[in-house]
Amino acid sequence: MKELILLLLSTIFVNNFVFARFLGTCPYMGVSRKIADSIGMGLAVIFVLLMAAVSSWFIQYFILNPLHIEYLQTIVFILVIAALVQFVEMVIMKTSPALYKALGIYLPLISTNCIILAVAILNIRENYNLIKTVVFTVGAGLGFTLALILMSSIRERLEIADIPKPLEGEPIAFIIAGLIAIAFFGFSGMM
Amino acid sequence: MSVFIVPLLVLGILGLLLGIGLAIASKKFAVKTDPKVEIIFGILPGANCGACGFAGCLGYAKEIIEGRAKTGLCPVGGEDASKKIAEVLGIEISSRQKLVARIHCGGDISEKRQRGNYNGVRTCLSATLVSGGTVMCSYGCLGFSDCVRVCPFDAIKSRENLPPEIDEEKCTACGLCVKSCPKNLIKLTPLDKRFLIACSSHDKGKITRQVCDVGCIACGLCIKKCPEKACNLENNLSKIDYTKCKNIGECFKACPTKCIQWKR
Repeated sequence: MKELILLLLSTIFVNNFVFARFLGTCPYMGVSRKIADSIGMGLAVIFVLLMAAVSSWFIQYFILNPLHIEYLQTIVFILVIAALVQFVEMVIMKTSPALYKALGIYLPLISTNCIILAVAILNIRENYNLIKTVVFTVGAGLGFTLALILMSSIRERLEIADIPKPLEGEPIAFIIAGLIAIAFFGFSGMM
Repeated sequence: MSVFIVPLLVLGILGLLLGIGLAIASKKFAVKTDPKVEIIFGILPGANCGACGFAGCLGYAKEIIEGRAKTGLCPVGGEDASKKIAEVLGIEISSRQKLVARIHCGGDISEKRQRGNYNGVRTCLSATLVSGGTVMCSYGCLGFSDCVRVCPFDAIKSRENLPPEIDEEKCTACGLCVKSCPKNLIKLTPLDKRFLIACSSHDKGKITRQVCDVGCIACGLCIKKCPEKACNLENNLSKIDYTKCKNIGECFKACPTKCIQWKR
């Protein structure tokens, strides 16, 4: 149990996917303008991550490993993730238009989010069992959501701040992202 | 052989299964969209210029259906499109005057009116950034044709030593040239109004005289002559109030510097 909690905390803070591994930085910069948007994106990512990681875990251990074709991992995972995202989008569109309006535009974005593929592959590479896979995945998603919320709450304030003209918009956001990443490096020796 | 066959089979079957799954899902979870969106999208001109304020014609069509947008916002489709859309929706039209872009400057920009030698990038924007413009009149057209390049309908033509000319038949009033002009000389004006103060100079009459032959010197003759009281002076520049103007043309006859233009 202790091990699992440690794993969760370390994926959220120490090995944060955005700040320590530098994955998924495109949606991180793109969807961090408003807090509401970033929470929506974060939830959608957690949802898709969980489904993708679990299904890819099953595919790895029940299809690829027994047939000794582990080298197909990347291409099969991409295939599954893409199909899964499409499927999820359709289901949400049908069952809950409100949720679709909130998440809708982010779902196609997520299918090209490299965190998803990274988590699926890392789960296999670290030899995690199914429980650890779920914990690691949730941790990755929470870490990404945390990064988005941190960034968007700062950027919302930047909107009204007096920033030097050449730095307005994206440049100041990149500087801030760098500063947050440095702050997150403070966690790196902890576990 | 199995080295080839197994991965091929696995990938093939996986792809097939996912494909079939998605196909079934798309049928099962199909969401009916409003067919009116398609109809309205067909009526709109498809220029995707964004002048209505929405993301392209399809975006505008969706907004109309959702009731968030009025029917008459498309300057390209104009009155026709507005009427047709209103018919589809079965509502009263919110009609819109047909507008056209007009350049409010008629000044000479030949060599003798240049302030010096400008060798920078040949766009109005950069010339304005360097020294507030290259011509003597600090309000006047620079003639580097930013508006000509930005026009998606090929309606603006450059002219030698004069501001560009706008073909009012081709102009759709999308407003891109209005934004492109660093001197803010281009304004959307009603097409059926014939007269135009082709000057934007707020300088005093004497200074305007020195730098331009056809500038508004704020003499006020047009104001005196206009029977509808449509002209008025604002900050050393005459302005026509197009809600009052009745195309009479006394201002055009009275103007001593000929800065009022007559458009057909």
